[in-house]
Amino acid sequence: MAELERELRALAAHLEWPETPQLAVRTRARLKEPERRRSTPWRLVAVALAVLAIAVGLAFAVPQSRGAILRWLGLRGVRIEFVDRLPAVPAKGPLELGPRISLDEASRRAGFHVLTSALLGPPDEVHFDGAQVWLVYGALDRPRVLLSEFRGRADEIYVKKVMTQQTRVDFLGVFGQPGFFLSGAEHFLYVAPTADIRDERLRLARNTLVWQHDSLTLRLEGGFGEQRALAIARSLE
Amino acid sequence: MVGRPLTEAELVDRAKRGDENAYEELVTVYQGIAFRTAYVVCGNAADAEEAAQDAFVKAYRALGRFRQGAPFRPWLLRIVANEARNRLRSAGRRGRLELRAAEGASSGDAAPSPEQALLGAERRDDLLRALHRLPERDRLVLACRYFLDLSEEEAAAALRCRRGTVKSRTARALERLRAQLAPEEPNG
Repeated sequence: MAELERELRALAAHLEWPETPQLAVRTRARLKEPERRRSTPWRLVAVALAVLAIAVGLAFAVPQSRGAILRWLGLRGVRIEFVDRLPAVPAKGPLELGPRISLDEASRRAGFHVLTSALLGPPDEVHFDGAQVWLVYGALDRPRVLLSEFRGRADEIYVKKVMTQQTRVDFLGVFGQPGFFLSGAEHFLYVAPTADIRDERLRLARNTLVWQHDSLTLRLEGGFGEQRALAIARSLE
Repeated sequence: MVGRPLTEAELVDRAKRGDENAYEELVTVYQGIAFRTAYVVCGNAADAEEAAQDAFVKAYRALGRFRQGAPFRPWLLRIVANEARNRLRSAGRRGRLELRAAEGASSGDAAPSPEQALLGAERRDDLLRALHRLPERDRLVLACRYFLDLSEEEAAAALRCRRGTVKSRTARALERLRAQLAPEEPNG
């Protein structure tokens, strides 16, 4: 065995290794980034998520991966799952957003200040389902814009999105906080006021911006593009 | 006045106190082994580069938890290997280390050592072919021990197992390699 070990050590010197990149200078530059906090810097998370999203795309090219839930990405209280095929459900399920209440009442019941947008104006309806406050713009059966707000926690999933690779996911920052914009193809939304995610609450969703706003997780859905969604997001106060 | 070069422990100590020059020196010293370790785990240069880069940044931020006086290299390589594995996992890829012999002279020292000179081209190719027929786990442990020249402790850190496991896995991998190299028995 000793002879074989000697040969392996000798082989090491003959091996072709990729050239070592000059990491010292680049590392040095990254040390200067003002991200010394203990939590993972969002920029890195965004890059990681973007890599993940690309990888998910690539994974679909692998036949044995098909049919399975491939990967998920998450914000606080939000989970995104990529699947090969969307489950078969009625194209438009009813919106179950809880009882209709006033804006002030929503803030009181939810225990946080409900944000509203000067760009959107006052919502046509406000609902509270026990966990999320829903601001409905337009008619409830076909809202123009839907904004939900809830205090997201890392260990509880309130909203789950299920999509195929046809749905585009763009990672972006909203006032320096993490978010993503889902567009391109319909995806499903599960709304889970309790921990269990029930299929009957599943319905198709349109373009959606999901982002973190301090302790709140916000979700804006409507027939708009990314720029408009971001403008609305920035107008919230 | 030119002072003596700082020892590793001194560089680590300075880096811990926020001296970026000291840390840059450490990165310069270890970037080669860090990148190759990541390459062995990832099996491709692009992932390895990203993993090694991220690992150095993470290690810098984790220096506060580094035990003063402990060897820096195994600690660093553990972070590098974790980063490399995470990168593969998040990308949904499996590492597949492809080893090739460099064209012409050895890739190491300018003048081949007597040991290297003893390894003829034919035997070298046989070894590589046999290595590629081994399970990935065997190839990894052999690469860590003989190609990266990691200590058992470092290999254990890189492969996320115990030192004893590195030992037994290496022995089994060598056995299998030897079997691959043995001339085939004629059938029936």
